[in-house]
Amino acid sequence: MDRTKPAVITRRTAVRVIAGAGAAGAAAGVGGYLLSRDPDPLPARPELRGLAALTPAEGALVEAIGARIWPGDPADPGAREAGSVHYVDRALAGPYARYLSTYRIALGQIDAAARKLHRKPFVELEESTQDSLLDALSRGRLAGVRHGESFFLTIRVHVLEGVFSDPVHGGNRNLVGWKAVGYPGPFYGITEQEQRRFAEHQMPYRRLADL
Amino acid sequence: MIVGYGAAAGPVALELAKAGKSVVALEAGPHRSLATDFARGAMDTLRWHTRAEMIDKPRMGLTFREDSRSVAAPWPQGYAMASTVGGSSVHWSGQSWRFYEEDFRVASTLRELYGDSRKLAHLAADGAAIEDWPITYAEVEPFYDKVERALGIGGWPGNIGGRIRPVRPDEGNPFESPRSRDFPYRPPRDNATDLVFREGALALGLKPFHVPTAFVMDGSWTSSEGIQRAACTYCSFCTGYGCWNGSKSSTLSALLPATESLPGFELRTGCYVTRIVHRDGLATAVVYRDAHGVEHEQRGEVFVLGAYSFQNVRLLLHSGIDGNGQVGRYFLNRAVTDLHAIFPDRILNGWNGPSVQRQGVEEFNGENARELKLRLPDDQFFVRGAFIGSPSQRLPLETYDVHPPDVPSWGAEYKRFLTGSLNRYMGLQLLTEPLPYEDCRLDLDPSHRDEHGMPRCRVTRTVKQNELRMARFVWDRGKEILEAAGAKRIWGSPGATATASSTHDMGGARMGTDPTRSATNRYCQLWTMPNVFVAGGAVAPTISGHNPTQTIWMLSYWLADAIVRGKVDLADSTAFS
Repeated sequence: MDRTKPAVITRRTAVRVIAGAGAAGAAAGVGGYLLSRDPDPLPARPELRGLAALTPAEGALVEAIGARIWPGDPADPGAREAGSVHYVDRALAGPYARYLSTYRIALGQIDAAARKLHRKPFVELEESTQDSLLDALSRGRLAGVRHGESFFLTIRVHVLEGVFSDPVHGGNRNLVGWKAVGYPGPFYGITEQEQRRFAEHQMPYRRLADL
Repeated sequence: MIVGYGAAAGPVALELAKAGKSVVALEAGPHRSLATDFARGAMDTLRWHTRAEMIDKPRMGLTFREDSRSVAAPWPQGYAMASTVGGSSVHWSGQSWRFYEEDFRVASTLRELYGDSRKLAHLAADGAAIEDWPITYAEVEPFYDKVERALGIGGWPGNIGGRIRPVRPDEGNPFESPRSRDFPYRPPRDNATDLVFREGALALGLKPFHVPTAFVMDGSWTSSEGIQRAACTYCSFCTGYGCWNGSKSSTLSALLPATESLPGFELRTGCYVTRIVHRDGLATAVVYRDAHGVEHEQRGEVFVLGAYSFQNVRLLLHSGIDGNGQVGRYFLNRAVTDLHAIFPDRILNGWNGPSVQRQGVEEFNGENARELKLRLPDDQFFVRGAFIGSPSQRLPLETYDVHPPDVPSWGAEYKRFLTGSLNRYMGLQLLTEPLPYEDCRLDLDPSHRDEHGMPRCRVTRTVKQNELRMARFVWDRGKEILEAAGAKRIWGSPGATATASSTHDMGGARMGTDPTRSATNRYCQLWTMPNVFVAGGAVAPTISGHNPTQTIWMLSYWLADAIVRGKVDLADSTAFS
């Protein structure tokens, strides 16, 4: 897979991130926070620096998990190419704010589990290793992650919402989610010919903004 | 005084205001309209389906338990009640049926067909409490007709005055009860999904037909109320959405425009009714909070509850109105049975088509399949049945969770399945008819409250043997249709799962002839408080294997007519004519 080379977050950014995570951790009374045990430079692509709710590293982790839930590459785009993480981030900064602390805690614990088991942050692991970690998570069997099964259900739904919702909400970039399943998007009307085609549709791809 | 301005309230408000009465309707939701809310944003699946913006969960959430010994937990999923002017008729599918003659007399029908047969032993063992409606199809037929003309329902007639399929030899529901005249216009055309379903059904010797639909079709149409609306464009954002084109028939699109100009009518939105005030057996006022949280008391002479079943029942109980112990009893909703298929060789594009662009068969509904059922061993025999149909509106964001159990729910294999088969997918609707039971009910939750401090509505709903046997049977029939149509991969649950809300949530204040075994009389008038009427599905003694909305509108016309014509005595519920 052609991944963008991880950027490096400066030490100062990292300190801020750690401080924020620490405060949330103290409030929730749970350990195992993202970044808090990692003395190494932190991977994150530049476009993940300006997220609204997630830290850049959390964004990178959500993106990496999303890329295993709905995998892809530039030729066959998946959740990463759809920018699903931007959908999730905007949702967590608004209508899904109630999930933010759940994300913060679980993402930290998942990353800590990856480092403990494989001595690397989750985002740097091989895809097959990531899959086996997520498989364990989805069964509630990833050591050190509390309520992992329920968190996996949550993030799975949010990632897929970011793949299949209109781009106005931040994901489904270039309509790659809809193109993958052969859905052209919203139209004010559909013709009889189109309804009885018994073949792939011949409508142009459209989004709400095109209406 | 009308509490809630939704589907059920629409005809009542219109007919009473037309008769010169002074009508105040208090609606908890906002006034969303075609121009301001549905014009462009209507086709946003995330807003209306996923995030269900029209549903007010914080204030109207439910709690649920499967048996009366358990502690109910908050129901996490959504349900059908839209908090908006026009209520759930704004976001409904638009599948519009008349109930059959037999649907109003299920108890008598079962006695006539099966007598005291030991085949019915499972019903007694499970506490089935089946009663006839206190009204007959013949009495209410003119009111069904009125709904078709005033709201706008299209279909092929299956039975006009006893003549079966009189218009075209192969169209219309041959099992429908006699109608006095044709529909005002025809239903939608068939799409690929419908054509394939038809093939399967015809191959089995069934008589498929396009379901009657509450959409204006084929050019503009003017209702009996003089409201002109445009035809559906098949945009396919229907169930869960407000119709941007005004084609979907609803209290909002068809009745409010005829009502709002009448001098006696006033609609107050954002007004949440918390209590009915009553003295000496009569209601005197309602207490409500306006959009700013300010509490008001509104006096009135006649009170019609036009909110959803859950809210009507909750409001009565919370106000201490349950003189005969019948309010909340005999709750009915449909158990969930799902049936899915992939047609590897045919691209159906199920996303293109309103959900109600739908063919269906009635051979297995009601007692239509009695010959088949009588051949079943006693421990598989069941009463009543289901409609089987082929919905569309398979939008990706609404359908991504539909996959066979052997396909994982994430990862490369999941993606491979979904990308290869979403357009080859058909899921059938199995609209089963559950029965009323002694222990299925609504009441006030003892520990969970809403934002206003009102107890939440607690749903106790158990799936019984009859529902499980019925689900098994109709699942197999649906599977046969799919196979005959060429489906290759078929999955789903042939069982029946209890749910707090199936979108058809009825009963809880059933009508009857016996004031000790029902909550209201035949005109939806509470036995114990004669100036309070319950509009909507809560009065249904049985639910039928048909979508209920047209019957809900019919009942509203029926009760409004009784008030306007003085068929009811507002001081004595037993003194009606």
